[in-house]
Amino acid sequence: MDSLLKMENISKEYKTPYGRIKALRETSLEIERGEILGLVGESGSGKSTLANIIVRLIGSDGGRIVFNGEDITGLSEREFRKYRREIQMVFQDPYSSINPRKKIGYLLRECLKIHDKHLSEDEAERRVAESLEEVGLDPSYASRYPSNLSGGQRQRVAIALSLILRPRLIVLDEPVSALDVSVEAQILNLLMDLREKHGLTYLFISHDLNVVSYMADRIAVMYLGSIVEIGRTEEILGEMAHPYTKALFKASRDISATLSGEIPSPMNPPSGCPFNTRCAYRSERCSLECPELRSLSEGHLVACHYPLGEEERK
Amino acid sequence: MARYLKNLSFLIGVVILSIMFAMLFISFFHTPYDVTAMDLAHKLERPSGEHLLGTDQFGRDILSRVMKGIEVSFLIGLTAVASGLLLGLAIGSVSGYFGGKLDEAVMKVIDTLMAFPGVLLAMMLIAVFGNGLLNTMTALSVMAIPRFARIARSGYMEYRDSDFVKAERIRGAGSFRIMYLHILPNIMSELVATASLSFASAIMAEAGLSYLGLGMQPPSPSLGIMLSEAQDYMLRAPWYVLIPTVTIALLVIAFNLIGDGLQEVSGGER
Repeated sequence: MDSLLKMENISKEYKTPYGRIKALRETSLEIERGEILGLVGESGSGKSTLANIIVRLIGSDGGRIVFNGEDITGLSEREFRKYRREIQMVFQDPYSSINPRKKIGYLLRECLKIHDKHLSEDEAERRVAESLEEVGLDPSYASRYPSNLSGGQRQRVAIALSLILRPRLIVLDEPVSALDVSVEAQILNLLMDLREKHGLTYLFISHDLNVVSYMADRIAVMYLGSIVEIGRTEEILGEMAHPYTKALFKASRDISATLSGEIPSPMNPPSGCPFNTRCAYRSERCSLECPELRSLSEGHLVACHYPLGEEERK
Repeated sequence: MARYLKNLSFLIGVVILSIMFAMLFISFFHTPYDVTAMDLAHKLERPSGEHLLGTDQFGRDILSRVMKGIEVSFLIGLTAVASGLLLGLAIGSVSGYFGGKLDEAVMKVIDTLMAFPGVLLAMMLIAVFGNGLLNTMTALSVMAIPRFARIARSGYMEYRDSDFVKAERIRGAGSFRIMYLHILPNIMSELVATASLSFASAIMAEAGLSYLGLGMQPPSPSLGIMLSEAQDYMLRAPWYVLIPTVTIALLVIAFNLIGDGLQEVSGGER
């Protein structure tokens, strides 16, 4: 397995006036080169925290991060700079993720100039036009302001902005959930094409399971700051082993199958298995002992004392 | 720009200000009479063809003195606003963007400055450093800082965690670039509106200080000085006291209207 990004035992704790919030609990995740890894979970499960740690908007409290074979855990902002261009992110809301006071061309050119001070004007101009064409926009869009663009066009611009730096890994944080359904498919196909063309690796974060199953090669399911199940997409869909995965996928098709109750407060997580308060299959052991991630088959891991069998999956 | 001109307050403000500007501009090249030339044979004369706005107690031409008085007002307003804006922005941006202990300390100082009524603060500074044009300008500049610092700080706090700023950080942009090339354009309209309102307060403060004898000194043609001299002749020559009063009022109203108009229009954009 050739991993591009490897996160080991990453923790993150936030201090709030009301107490400490454990957003990530010793989470480990590996992203393989060239794959699309889907990351699903309810809001509050720690997906965004994980994404922010990967792009280094925030630091982690403990653990180790290895990118492209190099340990980047303790790097200072200055040392991390050369990795900046390799790890990019596309945000959920294209209306807030692009500076409304700047022309598209300015923003694209700026990306290039930050990382290459000696780039000639002509070369910059050429690459700006090229990157706009790549995301399906006319190069004349460079002289427009974001306010003249539709949501779908803006998201294309946001993709162009992360792509122009020629990154290896792009974190897609719910990239289509703010868009119209009609535009959604276009953007998803664009992302697929771009991956093919540039050999990109995606971490695709979403709560829309249909979208994730369509896009992802592998899926990781998060609950309350830890990964509860991970495996190839077919395995997760066909042989889901964690009761939470089942509930999540059932809920997307059948509203009556929704989970009862809310995700527990991360300030006061339940003892034992984090899911035991809402689990339909819980037993006494679940509230005492926290299950570790263990392997069911090659590459399919689950954190559950009693993984679902053939019968229970239905 | 067309958007702004549709706003009534902005439009009226601009019209008044244009007239004032015209007078200011002409005064650079030409005033009907020398502003300090006395002509005791023609003192306290009514407005006439000879002296359009009459003469004062020394027979000096009031129109000429008002024209030069506007110049002083603008000069002081401009320096106060420009330095207040620059320093306030510098303080507010760093404080708001980085936050933390530094922000707390800086804001304590700014709050302390704000707790003093502006004119009192200016009087205190003048009492220490003495009066005159330069000291008046310095005092009014210091007085203008807190307002800009607060506006800038709240703007930077609003934007520092916004998605586009995060996106810039991920792309590798440094703090300086984010602060002044990306956030600043987004809070500029608010700062400009504040600048206009501050201009009005600076003009008022200068007139007030000069009236009290703490600002400009006679025979300099400051509107405040004219007002204080004219009040002794209020009954004999009411136009004399009225003219500097109306001029000050118009200047202040113009800048306030423009500031309000700017705020209304840019507020509606969000």
